[in-house]
Amino acid sequence: MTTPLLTLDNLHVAVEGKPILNGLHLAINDGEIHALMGPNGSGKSTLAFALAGREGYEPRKGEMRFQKRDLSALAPEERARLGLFLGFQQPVDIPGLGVMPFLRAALNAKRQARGEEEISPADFLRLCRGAAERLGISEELLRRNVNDGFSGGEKKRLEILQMTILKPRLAILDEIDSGLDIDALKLLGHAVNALREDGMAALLITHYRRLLEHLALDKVHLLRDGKIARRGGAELAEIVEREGYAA
Amino acid sequence: MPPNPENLFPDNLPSWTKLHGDKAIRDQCRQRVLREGLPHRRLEGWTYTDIAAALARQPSALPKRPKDAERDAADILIKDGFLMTPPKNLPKETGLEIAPLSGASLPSWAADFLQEEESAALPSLNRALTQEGIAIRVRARARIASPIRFIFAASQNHAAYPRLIVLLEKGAKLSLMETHPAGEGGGFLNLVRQIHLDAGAALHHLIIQEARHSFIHASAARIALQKEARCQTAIIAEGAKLARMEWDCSLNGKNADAHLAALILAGDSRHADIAARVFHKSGGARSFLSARAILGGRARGVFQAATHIAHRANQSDARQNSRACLLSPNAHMRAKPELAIYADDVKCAHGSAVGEMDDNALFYLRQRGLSEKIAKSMLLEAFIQDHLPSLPNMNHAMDAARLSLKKLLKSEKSEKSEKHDPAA
Repeated sequence: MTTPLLTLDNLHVAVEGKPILNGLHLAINDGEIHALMGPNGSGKSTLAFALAGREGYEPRKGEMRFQKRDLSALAPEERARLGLFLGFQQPVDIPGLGVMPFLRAALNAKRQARGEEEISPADFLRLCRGAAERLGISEELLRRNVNDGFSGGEKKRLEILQMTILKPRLAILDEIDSGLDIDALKLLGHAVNALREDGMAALLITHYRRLLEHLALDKVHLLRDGKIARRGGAELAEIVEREGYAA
Repeated sequence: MPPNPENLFPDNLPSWTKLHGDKAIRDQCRQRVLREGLPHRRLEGWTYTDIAAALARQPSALPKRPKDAERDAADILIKDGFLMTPPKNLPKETGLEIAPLSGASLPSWAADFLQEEESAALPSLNRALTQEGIAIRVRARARIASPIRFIFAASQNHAAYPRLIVLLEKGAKLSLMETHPAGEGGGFLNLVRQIHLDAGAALHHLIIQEARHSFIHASAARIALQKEARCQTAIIAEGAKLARMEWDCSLNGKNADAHLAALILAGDSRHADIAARVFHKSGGARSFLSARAILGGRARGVFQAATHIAHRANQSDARQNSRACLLSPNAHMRAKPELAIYADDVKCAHGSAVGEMDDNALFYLRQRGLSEKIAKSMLLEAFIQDHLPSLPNMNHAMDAARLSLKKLLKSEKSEKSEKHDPAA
């Protein structure tokens, strides 16, 4: 039996002294798409931050293993370079930092970690423009500063563009569907499916089934009080949408 | 310690204080300094910068004319207040007239500036002891393509009182780049710039003040803009033992437009105080006083912005903005906005923020694989870049700012490693 890409074993995380995750178990294999649903405050974003290594979200107990490595021992950038990508629920505005220089620096950091050469400016431009075009992102947006003055939908599209360019092994997408219109949801679905063909796995944190309709889901997990309260296939998302989280 | 301004004037004044046949105005200015003293902390506007006490503790002697030869003809070198570039090497271009402020042949337009009455202490001190300097005139509608570059060098423990005069006639355009290079040792610079822009003229002025730990730097720009004239100034200040940079602008005509973008990048125990004042004397003019500061170590940054809108100066558009990022718990930033509005129909805004580096943004960049060091440096560069885009000589300004930032981060790093080194 192969080792899962991500294994969470009895994970406990407290934020500012308050327990949020209370013994969470989860395993995601290469190329699998999982959805994590749950009411507000159930710990979904806490899990995303704990996995990505945000300060203040360190596990108090349990294990997080990604590609057989103990995530707790790694800095956020080391986790990212291993292929762990977090699509932020609230992407940060960085006035003064251009989208393209930022993307290129991020891609080069990853390439450098793998012992590859830096991408040439011309190749990067081609790659970036191609990916942006497929996601319906305008040239004008690429010339702006990171999320500065972006609408909610534009910010989410930029998260998807970053995922497409960085080609992670595991994408944790935290409410990436909020703020996206129907066309953008479809494009997001295509982007995740295309990356999945290359072996990417994804953990989609969401409240709605509308994004999940564009994807072939492997598993759905229902988080409640910091634990997985229920597991199932795509049908669980339908039940949740019909009956609410109390289902 | 009560300062004694007498100490600034030696018994026998050097011969250069008798140039230009301007003995009367020099005496008058000297009397003013002796009568009123130098600025101290009890004065409004000088609360954070006690230049009188600093000068009393660290006296500087009046220099003799330095002997070094001018080496780089591309820059105009003013050393210890003396113009070192020979007249034959001064920039030449159609419509451009450059006159050294020395000798008997001072043109009347430059002499007129030197007759202007001084009302404040430091410019009065400068006028009493002005050594040399330069006067620049750009003829009507002439557009000077290459920037005029100055270097204000200082040898150790000398007091320099240079003066810079700029006259842009109607529709003329000029770009100035002024560097105050880093150096060792004490000393005192008291520089005064008198700048006049006729209708429709445009000046871009970049001032780079590099770090001098033991130096006292005082400089003032006094700018007058007629209708539709435009002045954009960028100051990059690394600070000194004490640095006070004043920028006063008078908007005398409709659609005059003044923009000051100040950037303080100071570490160690350096001090940089930027005091900007803009006077909307005519309606329909615009001003923007803006500052960004990145401070490390025990550095102290000050941005005092004062906007005065005169009675009947309606449709004035005045903005002020200040943001500071503190890299160390011992760094301090003081931001003091002032708006005095005597007209009814105006647009005015001001904002100020002081904080540490944004943890959310830092985490965001690190989550994309950038190391903490690179992410921090990118965020600070973005903080600067966000401030500079509308500025003249943008590439040069950004390069200079990046270099200053690099030096600042390096000094922060070494300070931290000293703290962690038990042997230190």
